[in-house]
Formats: sequence, structure tokens, C-alpha cells
Amino acid sequence: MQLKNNKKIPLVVSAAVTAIVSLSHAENSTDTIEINHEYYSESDDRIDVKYTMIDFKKDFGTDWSFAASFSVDEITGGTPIWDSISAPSPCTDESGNYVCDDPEQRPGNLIGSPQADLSDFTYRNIEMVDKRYAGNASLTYRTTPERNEWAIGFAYSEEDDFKSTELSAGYLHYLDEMKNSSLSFGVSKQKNESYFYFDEEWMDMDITSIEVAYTQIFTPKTLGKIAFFRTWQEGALTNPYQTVIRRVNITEDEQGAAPIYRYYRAREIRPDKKNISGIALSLISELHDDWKLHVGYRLYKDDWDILSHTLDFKAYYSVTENLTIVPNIRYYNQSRANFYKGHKENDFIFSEREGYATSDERLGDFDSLTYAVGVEYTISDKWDANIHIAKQKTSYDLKSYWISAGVKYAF
Amino acid sequence: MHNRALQFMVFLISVFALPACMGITPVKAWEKDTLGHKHMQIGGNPSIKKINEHVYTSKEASSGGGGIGGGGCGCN
Repeated sequence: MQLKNNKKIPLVVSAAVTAIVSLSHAENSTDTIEINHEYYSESDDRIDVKYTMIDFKKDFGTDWSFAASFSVDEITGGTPIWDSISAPSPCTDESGNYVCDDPEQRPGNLIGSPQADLSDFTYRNIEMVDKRYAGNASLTYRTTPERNEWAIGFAYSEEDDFKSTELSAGYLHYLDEMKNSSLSFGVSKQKNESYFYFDEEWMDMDITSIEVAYTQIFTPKTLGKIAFFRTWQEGALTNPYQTVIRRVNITEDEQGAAPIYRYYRAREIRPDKKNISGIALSLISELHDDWKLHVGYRLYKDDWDILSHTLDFKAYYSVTENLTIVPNIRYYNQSRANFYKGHKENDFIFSEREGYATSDERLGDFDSLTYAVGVEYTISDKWDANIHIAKQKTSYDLKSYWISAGVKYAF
Repeated sequence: MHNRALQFMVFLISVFALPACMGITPVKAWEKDTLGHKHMQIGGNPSIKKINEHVYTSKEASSGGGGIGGGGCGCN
């Protein structure tokens, strides 16, 4: 990720963590290639994203399946951080070197010059550009005659300041002869590297995830799934671009000196470990020949004190044999991390030189509501097309929408 | 807050488990035509799911529960 005009800048990037090792009850044996393009835009001149994704799936006989995906996302726009009015970020010269201060003389994570009051600080968008390339592939094997499934997956993605490599494996075991219930297990290990421009070095961040799921067919028209997941993150979890405001006693190192307080911009600091656990429920039912309803709920909890609930309702309404309308509504709510202070709050200042601190809105308490509608059209036996439009509003006044269109060819 | 969440979770699991407790009549293979329909797949359209997750994971502190694998990003 980099600033326009090759200047490095504080920001946040987006990309997806989605499932490619997806084990399911249905074995769709058709080989397919699919391309989708998404355009995403936020209010207040914030982020715009163009995301293109190509998916390929090929079966080899009835026992082996191969799937691969390649995607590119291009991000432009602005992302908000605490900035200085007199010495605005990125505090870099034309070569991208950090020039605001001498790192050797800078206490802790403080940036720039001390200020006697807060008038020099502003929470505003910083322009940025970024491009991410990502690819993943998975191979699935089904045993005979049980049809249990083994899967392995590999994923790699690269940005200017972030690299990720992942290995994953999954196993699905049917619990009865009728194949009405199953247990699935998945595990993944991710090795990530983030570039910290302030320190001018790459730092490691590892993620280990496991998921255990139970799927049950209740009736010929209803099935459900319950999944338990745990994730362990360790390493450089701090966002290299996010900043906070700190109030520092600049005479505390001088014995007997009267305190003199000054305000600094400072890099955010997050703990280097995060342990996550959660549960996800899905229930799908055909209410009528033309209506299929999907209900989902996820409970998420981590040891940064973030607790979140996600409720998702989606319906597939078959207008004709070839045309389906897909309305979707999603509600999301989360509590704040225990080291978060929002920029709009009365107390947004962190008072220590060190210690965990963030003003990243995504670690604050907020809720969001997403409305979406999709249109899926079967053109012929071989061709399908879809268009989806979604609109989201968060309680911290960020509005966004995204629209996607895609075609799928079966062969 | 946490107690309420726990109660809510227990309630949901109870609702989910109720049919199982009442006894489920096994569904035969030839009765699974509807279940095999592409619109009955958990998670819905996989491509649309990826696109939506692409947005949600970069804007929220939470993730997980939708399967294992798929790779990482510099989202948070």
C-alpha cells in the first residue's frame, strides 16, 4: 500500500478472508469458471475499491475436485487517522523516508513535535492507493463408499506492505448411512508479514484457526449447521498506519522537575496476541416452492473484550424458472476493544507514553445495518449471470454501498 | 452484557437442537432434490459470499465461522 505520488501513508487496506475449503453435503459435479467484478464506495470521500475475482472448479471423476481462485483489488480514496495540521502526514520525503523526527531521540511511539494544546491535531482522511493480488487453490478427495471428504488448501496474497501465505486442511465425516448428518473439521495456519514504515522493517504475524461444525438435515426441505471456531493471532497485530493522541509529562525523566504536559501524535499499539472464539448457526428452509429462506447468526468473542453479534436473513425468491430475486438484510453489533478511545469521545487522549492504544473505529463499539438485493438469471444450461447491490450504514455515520456483477460458465 | 449474550446463545442452540430432540425422520436419498438445489447451499452463492466477506472483514473487528482457509489480508 502506498500514498499517491509514491508517498507512504497511514491507512487501512481491505481484502477478504473467505473460505475456499468449503465442505458441503451437496456434490455439484459441474465444472465451472466464473468471473465477478465488484465496485465498493464509502461516503465522506473515503475508500473506493474495484475487486475482480475469477473462480475455477473442476471435477476429476467422482472422487476428486479441484478449485482455484484469483483476485485483484485496487483501493483508492482516503482513510481517517489522527493527523497534524502543521506537519501533515505522511511525514515522509520524496524517497519515502520518515523525516518528522529522529527515531533515536523519539520517546516511545511518539510522532512529530510536542504541542501545548490540541489545536494542531485533526482526525481526517489521508489519501492512499493500494493493490492486492490474491490466489488460492484447494483439492478435495471423497472416499468410497462412505463419501467422506478430505480437503487441502493453499492461499497466497501480496500487497506493497503485506504478504500472506496459508495452508489449510479439512475433513468431513458423515455420521449416518443416509448422509443426513455430518461432522466437519478444519484447520489453517497463516504466516503473514507486515511492513512497518516507521521502523522500516517487516514484522511477522501468525494466525492459527480451527473450526468444528455439525450439519443436520431435518426434513427434505430444511437443514442446519452449527460451527464452533477458535483463532489464535500472534505477532505484529498493530496497524502500522493508525495513530492516537497522547498526553505526556515531558519532564518525568528529570528528578524533582515540575510536570510539563505536552500532546503528541503517536502510533497506535495493540497487544501482540489475540485469542478468538465463536459460534455460528445457519438454518436453511424451503418455505414454499418459490421461497427459500437462509437465517444465520454468529457470536464472536475475543480477549480484547470485543463481543459481536451478527444476524443475517436472506431469501431466494424464484420469479420464474430462470429468474431469482435475493433480498438480504444483515445486522451487526460489536463492543469496543479495552484499549480503544474514539476520536469523537470527550476523552480521546491516552495519557501514557506507552501502553495499548487505538482510535481505529473498527475496534470501537458500533452497529451496522446492511440491505442488499440480488438478481440471479439462468441464461442457458451453461450460462448464469448475477447482479447484487448492497448498502450499509454504521452507527459512526459511515455509509457505503457496493455493486457486483458476474457470469458463470459451466462445461 | 455477556450474560445476555450467553442466554441468547443458549436460546438459539435450543431452537436449533429442538428438532433433533423431538426425533428426526431420516430423509431418504430420493427426497433430497430440494436440498441439492443451488439456493439451498449453506452460505448461499459462494462468489457473492466472498464479495460480501471482502467488505465485512475489512470493516469489522470480527471474523470467522464461515469455513477454514481462503487466505489473509492486511485488513486490520
